[in-house]
Amino acid sequence: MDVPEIVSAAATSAAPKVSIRGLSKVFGEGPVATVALENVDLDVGEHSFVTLVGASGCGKSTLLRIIAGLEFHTGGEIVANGKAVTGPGADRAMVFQQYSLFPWLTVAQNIRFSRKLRANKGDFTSAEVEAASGRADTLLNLMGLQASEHAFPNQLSGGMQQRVAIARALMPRPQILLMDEPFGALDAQTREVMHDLIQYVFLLEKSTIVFVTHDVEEAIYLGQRVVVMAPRPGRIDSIYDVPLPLQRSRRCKARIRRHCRCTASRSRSRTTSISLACRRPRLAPSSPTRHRKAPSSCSACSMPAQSP
Amino acid sequence: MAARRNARPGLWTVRGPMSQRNYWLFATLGLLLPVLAWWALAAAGLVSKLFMPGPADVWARVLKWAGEDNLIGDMFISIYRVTTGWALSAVIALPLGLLIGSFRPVQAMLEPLTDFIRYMPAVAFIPLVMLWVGIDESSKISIIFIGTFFQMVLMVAEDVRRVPVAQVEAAQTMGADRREMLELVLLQSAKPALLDTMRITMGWSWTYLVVAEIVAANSGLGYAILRAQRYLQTDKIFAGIIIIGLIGLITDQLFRFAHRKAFPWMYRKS
Repeated sequence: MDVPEIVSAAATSAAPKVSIRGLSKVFGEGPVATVALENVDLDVGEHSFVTLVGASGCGKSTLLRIIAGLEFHTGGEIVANGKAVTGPGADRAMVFQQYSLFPWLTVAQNIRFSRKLRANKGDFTSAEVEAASGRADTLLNLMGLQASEHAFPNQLSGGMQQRVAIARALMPRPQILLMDEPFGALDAQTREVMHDLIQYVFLLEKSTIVFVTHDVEEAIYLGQRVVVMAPRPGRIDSIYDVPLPLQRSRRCKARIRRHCRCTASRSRSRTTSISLACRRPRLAPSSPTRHRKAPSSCSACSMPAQSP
Repeated sequence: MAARRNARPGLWTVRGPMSQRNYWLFATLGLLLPVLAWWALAAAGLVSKLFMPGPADVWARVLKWAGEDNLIGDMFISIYRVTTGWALSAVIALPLGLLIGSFRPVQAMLEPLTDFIRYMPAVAFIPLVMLWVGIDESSKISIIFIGTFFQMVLMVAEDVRRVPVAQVEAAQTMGADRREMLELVLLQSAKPALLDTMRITMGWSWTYLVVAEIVAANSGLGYAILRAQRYLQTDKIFAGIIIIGLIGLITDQLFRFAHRKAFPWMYRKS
C-alpha cells in the first residue's frame, strides 16, 4: 500500500473517500437481465464536489444508490471511507429528489432524527448531546428554516422541503453527502437559490459531495469534476475537471449557461445536444486516457474550453 | 361567454370546495330524503304494513323495545361482542401485518395462506366454532374475529407496504437498524392509514353480528332481528337494522374525529 502513495500523494492529498473499480450492476436474471452499469471506475477525493450527469437510463442514479448501499453491485468493488460497501450507513448521507421527509415530524424533529437514532442506541455522551442540539440550530439557521422550525413538511414549499432534507442529511456530519437530483422537482428560480446554498454548505462544512443531475449546466456550475455517463449499457463516458475556482459567482453561472447553449446549438439535434454538450472534451478532461487536446477558449462565451 | 361576476367556484365545480355549512346541509338532506320517501310510501298505503311498516310504526316499536324488551341491554351486548371480536383481531393483525409488510419471508409465508382462508365464509365456521369453543360468549366473538381478522391482516400489510420508499431509504442512510425502521419509520408513517383500516374493518365486524348471534344467542341486536323474523315482526327488523346503522355511523364519526386529533399534521396546510 505504501509504494503507490508516492505517485498519488502528489495528485490528491489523501486516499479517496470513494473508490470504485470495475463496478457493474445487472438488474434481473437470465433473458430479462439488463445491464445498468458496466465497468465503472471512479475515485472521489476528500472535500471534492463530483457531479454525475447523463441522459436518463445511463445509470447515474444507480451508481449513486450503490455508493449509498441502497443497491448492491453485481461485479467489481466499491470502497467508501476505507470500508467495502455492504449496505447503507450513517457515514453516507443521502438527499432524495422528493417525498423523503417524515410528514408526521416537524422540521426540527426531522432534522434531529439521526440524533434520535443514535440516542436510541445509547452511544451518546452528554457533551455530544449538547453539541448536537447546537448543530441542529446551526443547520436551521444555515438553511434559513428558523421560522419554519415547528411546521410540518406538508406546510412547506418544495424548495423549503429540500432545505430540510439537506439539513437532515448534514445533521450527523456524514463523511459523504450523496444527492440524487435533489433540485429536479424545483422551479428554476428556487433551484438557483439552492445552488448557492449547496455551494455555501460545501465550502462551510468541507463536505464530500456526489451529486446526480441530468442538467449539464447544473453539473458544471456545481461540480469540480463532472462525470459524464452514457446509456446502454450505463458507463462512464468521460470525466472533466472544471477549470473554475471553488467559489462560483452568478456571473460565472451565466457564462456556463451561454457556453452550454452555444455548444448545444452546434450539435446535430436539440434532443441529443444535452448529452453531447459535455461528452466532447470542451472542458479540460481529467483522465489522461480521455484527454484529447489542451483546453482553449470557447469563442462564443470565452469559457476556458475547446471547440469540437 | 362573459366571465362570471362572482369569481368563486360554484357548488357543482368538479372537485370544487365546499363550506362547512353547505356540507351539513347536504349531509342532512341525504339522510332526510330517504326517510321522507319511506314515510310517503308508507303513508300512501300502497304497500302492506307487513312488508313495509312506516317510520311511525318503527319508532313505536323502538319505544316498546326500549320499554319492555331491554333494547339497551341488546345494544350493549352486541357492541361488546363486535368490539371485542374486532379488538382481538386488531391486537393480532397489527403486529402480524407490520411484519408481513416489512419482511419478504414473512409475506411469502403468510400472505397466500391468509388469502386462502379469507375466502372461506365465516358462516361456514359456525359448526366448527360451536364444536371447539362452545356456545357461550366466546363463540360469538370467535365468529366476528374469523370474519374480520384475515381481511384486516392483509389491509394492515398493504398499509405498511404503501410507506414511501424514499422515507424508508432516508432512514436507512441515517443508520436506522431493523427495529428502529419498524418502530420509528414504518409504523409511524403508516399510522394514519392504519387508523382508517381499523375504522373500515369495524364496519365489517358489524356485518358479522347477525351471523354470530345465530349461535345459541338469547340477547343482542342480531338475535332480536332473527327472532323478529320468526314472528314476522317486520317493524322490529327495521328497527334493529336502523339501530345497527346508527351505531355504525356514530362509531365511524368517532374514528374520523380521532384521526383528526391524532394526526393534526395531515390536516394542516400552509
